[in-house]
Amino acid sequence: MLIAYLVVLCVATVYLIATLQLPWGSLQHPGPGFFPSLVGALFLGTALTAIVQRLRGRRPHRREGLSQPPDPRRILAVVVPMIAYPALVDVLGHIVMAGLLGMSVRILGARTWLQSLLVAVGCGLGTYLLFEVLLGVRLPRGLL
Amino acid sequence: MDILTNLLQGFANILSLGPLTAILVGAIVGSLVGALPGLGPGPAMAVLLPITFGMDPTSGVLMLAGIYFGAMYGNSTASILLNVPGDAASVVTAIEGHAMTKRGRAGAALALAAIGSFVASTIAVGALMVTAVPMSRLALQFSGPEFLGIALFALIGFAGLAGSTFLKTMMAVAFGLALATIGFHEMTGQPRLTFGQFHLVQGVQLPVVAVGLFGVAEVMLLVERGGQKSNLPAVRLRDLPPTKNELRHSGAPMVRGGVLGFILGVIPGPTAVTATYASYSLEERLSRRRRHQEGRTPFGRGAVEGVAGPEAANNAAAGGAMVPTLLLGIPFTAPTAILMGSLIIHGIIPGPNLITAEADLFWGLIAGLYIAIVVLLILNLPLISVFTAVLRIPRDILVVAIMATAIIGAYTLRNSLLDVFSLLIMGVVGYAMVKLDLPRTATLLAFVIAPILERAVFQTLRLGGGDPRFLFTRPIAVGILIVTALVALAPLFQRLLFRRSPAPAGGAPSDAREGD
Repeated sequence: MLIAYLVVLCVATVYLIATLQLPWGSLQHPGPGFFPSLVGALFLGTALTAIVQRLRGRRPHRREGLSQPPDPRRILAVVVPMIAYPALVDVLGHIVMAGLLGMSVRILGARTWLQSLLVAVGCGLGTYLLFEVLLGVRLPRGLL
Repeated sequence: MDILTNLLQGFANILSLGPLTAILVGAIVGSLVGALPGLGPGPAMAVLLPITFGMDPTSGVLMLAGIYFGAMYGNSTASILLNVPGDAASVVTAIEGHAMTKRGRAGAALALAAIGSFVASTIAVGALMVTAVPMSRLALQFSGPEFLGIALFALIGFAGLAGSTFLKTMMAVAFGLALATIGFHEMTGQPRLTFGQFHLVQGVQLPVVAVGLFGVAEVMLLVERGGQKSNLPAVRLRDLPPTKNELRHSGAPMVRGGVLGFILGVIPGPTAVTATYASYSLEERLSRRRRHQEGRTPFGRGAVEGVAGPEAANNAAAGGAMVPTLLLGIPFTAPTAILMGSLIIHGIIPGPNLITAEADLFWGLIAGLYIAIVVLLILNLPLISVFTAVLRIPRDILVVAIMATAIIGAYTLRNSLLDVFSLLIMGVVGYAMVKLDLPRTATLLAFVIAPILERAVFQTLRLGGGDPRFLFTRPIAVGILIVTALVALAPLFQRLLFRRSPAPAGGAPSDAREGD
């Protein structure tokens, strides 16, 4: 968990440095950098305090952390289609990419290939019909 | 009389196909997600938020409000039948509710929960309607210092009441404020903190934050937990009517829960949850005093008071939460923050001027809420078996449906795939926040409140000629700051007050950590 707070610390530091590049103004006429730099200070301050607390060996909050280690395959089954969608949709189009999302039930629900394929077709065509045809939303088309 | 005329005008405005369909869809979606364990109103409203952009503002807000109220109706279902709370606000309901199921009174418990929700929502919307005009008039005198006080009240007060430590809540708040400062600076029109990314000039989009932190993160949590099959007791229509005795004993708790819930709902924090605990402990205390009365089931063995009171309380709290959102323009809960986001995207700024500047919208909304309450009662009484059937929907199908809707919603914001990437990033952040026990609600609230807070800071400094001590010369602002300090210390009082509070039953869903 210390690593997570170190990531927060990095984000907060980058943010604070960026806010300090903006004009601060004066107390009477605060500039665009005034409020963000206060926020950045709060952000960095809380991150530092959390890390110091952790290093001093204070016990982690009781609800924190992983109660049971999650199955990485199941998480990936959701995350991979989500990365793939914006990355490839310009080429393959919405129906195919939503279908790929539907295929994740192969892992999530331990379904057979046939069942997964049916869900995939349902997801691809179903969302297309609902959003593009019925609600008139323009979904990404792709080259196909 | 004025109220009545306005209300009738409101009904006249929304009695058309668009708003009524929006209410019906919202009520159905809300009841469904409420019934599903682990999914609260927040994620559902976040995922459907982009759809409301294409609607007229009243319909859009009514759909979201329908989901909010519907989830508060439906969240008792899984608690009562399976002893698995639908969300944090129904953890308490599981105690007596599931005990009633074991006694074979599941139908009556569901019916009383629905009736309690109805009674309480009616009280809450009535109270919202009556307080609206005086509240707006009071708030019209507010300027920078007062809004600064209220914004701090919302953020710090939340820290006092949320389950996490103060430090963690403040970290989550800082993160939300930081996200909101990216993009155009409202007062100078200057883009800031875009890190050279053109995409960020317009700022981080609210739906991306809301859907990512709640929708996508929630899906990852659902997936990680895996599917558990459970034995669902069948509830038939003829099991529903409560006995005369049950009705008699639950009437007063419903009203008490309704009033308590509304009052607690107006203050910041996970109030729907707090309200259910408060109602439960109140009813339990009262019941101990009357334990010798005949026909009363003691607490712990399925007392109707323990279902009717808390279920009323969480619905009324949802109504109460609308007050600061609509009349001050400062939301105190995640669902109302999303509701406010929908209004802002339509160019409507909630606040003291709403009731005069957008009278049609405001009274249409009130009228719509009354319709939603009735629709929900009708849906939840005879059709309860339909809603319990959603507990049988396979998890994996549900996950796919939520993900597809979330992706399409993010894409359609600006027809930009970068928003879909941002959505994933926010989803991973939200997942990590749950693992670190950082309250996501605090981040969402801070994100929505940030522009108001920044404006208030500017105004206060300008009014005071650059002297921050000016803040302390404004009596109302000082009063709010004192209350903020008291609420921040509330955990101390709470520990004293709820020392005997019931332990959460069953596997508390992820949202139990932060309410809403």
